[in-house]
Amino acid sequence: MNPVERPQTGIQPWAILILCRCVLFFCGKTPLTAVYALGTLLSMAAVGILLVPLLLCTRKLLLPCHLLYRFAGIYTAALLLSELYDLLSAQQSPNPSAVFVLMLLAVCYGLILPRRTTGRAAALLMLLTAAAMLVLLCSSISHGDPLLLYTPAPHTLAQCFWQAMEQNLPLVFLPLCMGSYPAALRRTWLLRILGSLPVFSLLIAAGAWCCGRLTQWEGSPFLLLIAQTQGNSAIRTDGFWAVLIPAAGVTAIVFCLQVAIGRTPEYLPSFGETLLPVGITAAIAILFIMENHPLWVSFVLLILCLGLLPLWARLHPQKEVRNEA
Amino acid sequence: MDSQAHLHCMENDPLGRDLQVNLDRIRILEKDSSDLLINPVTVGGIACALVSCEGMLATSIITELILRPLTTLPAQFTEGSALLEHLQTYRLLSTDRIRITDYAMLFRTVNSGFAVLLAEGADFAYAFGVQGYDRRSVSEPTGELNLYGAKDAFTETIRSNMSLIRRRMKSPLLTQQLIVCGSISRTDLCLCYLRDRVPPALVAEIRTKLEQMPVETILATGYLRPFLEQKRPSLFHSAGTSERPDVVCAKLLEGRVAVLIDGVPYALVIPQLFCEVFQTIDDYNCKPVYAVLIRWLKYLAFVLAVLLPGCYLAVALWHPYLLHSTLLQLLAQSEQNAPFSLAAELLGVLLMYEIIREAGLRLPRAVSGAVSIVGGLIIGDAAVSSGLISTPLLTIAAISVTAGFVAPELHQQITVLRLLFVAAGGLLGLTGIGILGIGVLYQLCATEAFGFPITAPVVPFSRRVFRDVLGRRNFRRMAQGNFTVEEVQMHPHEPR
Repeated sequence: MNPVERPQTGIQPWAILILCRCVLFFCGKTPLTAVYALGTLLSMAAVGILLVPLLLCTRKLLLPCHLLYRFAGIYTAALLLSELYDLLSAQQSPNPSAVFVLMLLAVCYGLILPRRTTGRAAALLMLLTAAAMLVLLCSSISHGDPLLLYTPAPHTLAQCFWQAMEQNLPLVFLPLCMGSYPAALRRTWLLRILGSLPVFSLLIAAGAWCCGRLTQWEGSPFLLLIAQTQGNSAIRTDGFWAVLIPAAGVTAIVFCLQVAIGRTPEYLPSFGETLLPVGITAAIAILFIMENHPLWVSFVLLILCLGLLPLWARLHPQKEVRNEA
Repeated sequence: MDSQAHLHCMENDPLGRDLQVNLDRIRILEKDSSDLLINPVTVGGIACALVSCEGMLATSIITELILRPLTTLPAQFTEGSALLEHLQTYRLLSTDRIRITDYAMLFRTVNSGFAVLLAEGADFAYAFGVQGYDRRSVSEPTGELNLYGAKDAFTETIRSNMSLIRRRMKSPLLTQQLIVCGSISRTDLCLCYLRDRVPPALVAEIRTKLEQMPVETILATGYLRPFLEQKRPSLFHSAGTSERPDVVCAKLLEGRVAVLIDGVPYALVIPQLFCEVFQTIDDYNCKPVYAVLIRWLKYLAFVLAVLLPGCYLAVALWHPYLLHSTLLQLLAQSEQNAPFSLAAELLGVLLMYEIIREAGLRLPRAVSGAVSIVGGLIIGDAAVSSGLISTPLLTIAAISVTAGFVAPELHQQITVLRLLFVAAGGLLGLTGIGILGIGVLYQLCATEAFGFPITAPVVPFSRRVFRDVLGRRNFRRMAQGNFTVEEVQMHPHEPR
């Protein structure tokens, strides 16, 4: 079977890129206002202009591009980790250090599995996210007040635009996901991605519709939106998102680290053997992350984990394959 | 050790022309075995011996088909080889005849219920199939019950199982290949597949793996599964089992390979997709609307079975703000008088259920009923009325356990995951459940068999197969194009 006969498989790269974008949106701290929705819409146009030449370029990427992508991968992973940490702290999760260690172990586990696993997991998670978002949109519109859209925003359009651009950062990995797919699929992907982005503007507008007055809210405004739009009177729907966001975050971090690693061992001897040194490093590093600088410490932590995986693979010589991307 | 190696070498030796030497070797190799029968007899003027295994053959059949024709042969032969060739060419003593050239083959046939005729001066022998050992007759399936489908299930006899499949698929395209595995048990395995549907590489790879298995014996499907599934540890199976011939036939039609094992009333089916665990033969016997409803209920039940106790614990311990005040008050009141913590209560109830289940499973049926009554009714009722366990918690545990029954094939996974999610929810709240959930999801997505991901047809997506996952179209539409598992094989462009 060639990919032209089964173009549906192309859903995986789309899912993983949009999932990364979703996680950054869920964890974002910018209050949901009409200005923010407009800024997100403008950023979509900018991303479209940026992605078109990248997608049409059929030649293989040069070495400096690869290095740039690796750096972008590490940066995005660190950004995601830091944002998730902030979100968990704001949510007052029980035993945050243990949660963080567990999260890092899950990231390491994702890294030692074949790369295709991340795409499949992302596609399944995106199915859940998309279904929940639809429910959320419908629910918020029925609960909100259109007048709240005109609430004065505490930030400018430019600030909102750059905030949305930062959240769009994972989309630059699109050329890496293309692999050897035919040109027709690349265009389909671009359309899919650009078609998905307005959903974020809609969500922000829905958030402004529901909780426009709460522009001084500290924490994730997205979770505030969920809290404002209850599923039913007995139980709130935050619980589902509280489960989904860390899961999606782990998948997004794994993807970004895979971009950064570039080369991955095809098969490592066993789960325990591989996880042990990485787990210990992560546990030691977690003590540092309890300090007040999660972003740069998480940078160090991730570089340590990344450095350890190839070292361990070298200690256990296995067949290695070069990533097609 | 040396004598064992010597015996092993002797076993692989070819048969000699001297009958007495051959018989002596057989006696040495089967030393002290009381069930080996060696009957010297003169046939057509040649000294012969009929070797068989007591209890493995039917006396009336061997008398009628073998002994009577042999003893009436005129003494016209000068060599044993001529006698055996005559029997092979002109006498149809049995429909199942095998030419034996070495001792290993001789013992395999004798111990499979064949009668082997050795003759003086012949360096080969003939085995005649006259099996007559006790076997369980075909009966109703014990695990995969249904309302409207066939009522026969596989038995322990591989030939009967092969015939059960053949009766349903009379096409010559159905291939049933016998191979022998197990250095000591020499168990017969049968590879079944439809030549025009199955990917040739899949059959070749399965056969190679089976032939290279370093096992001494095969007593159950669990002895084979690790060799047919991926090496990477996984919680989920990528090879399924079924005791129903109709289910196996349906799988063969989709281009899968079934492995029948002699002595095991289950067939292994390779590959198996995760979504198929929720499908039953009854889904295709009732109206599509009802089948879709039941299928969705099963998906919901699986989620409840795995996640409900963990989520309850997480919400009650760490996220009570998610509950409405009335519900929260109700839970708080019921937990007020319970002496143990919520986590200890829940773990205790779930572990107690597993103990009662295990006790009921291993005991004789008459006693297992009593265990269920004592465990379920008396202990449960007494625990609630004495205040040891709160009623909502027991309700949650009962819903979760009952929901787990809808997918019996996933019972092991559900049990382990349920306890893990309870631990994650109790220690880390909903965030812990999310992180453990992604670990399980990764595990599920990484499980493959021979390049077939078990998460298909959802990811990688296949529209034609997917229509039998979320819904169930009627047969008019489904029959328009049979899908084969080749469609859900790993995509060539998926990253390795």
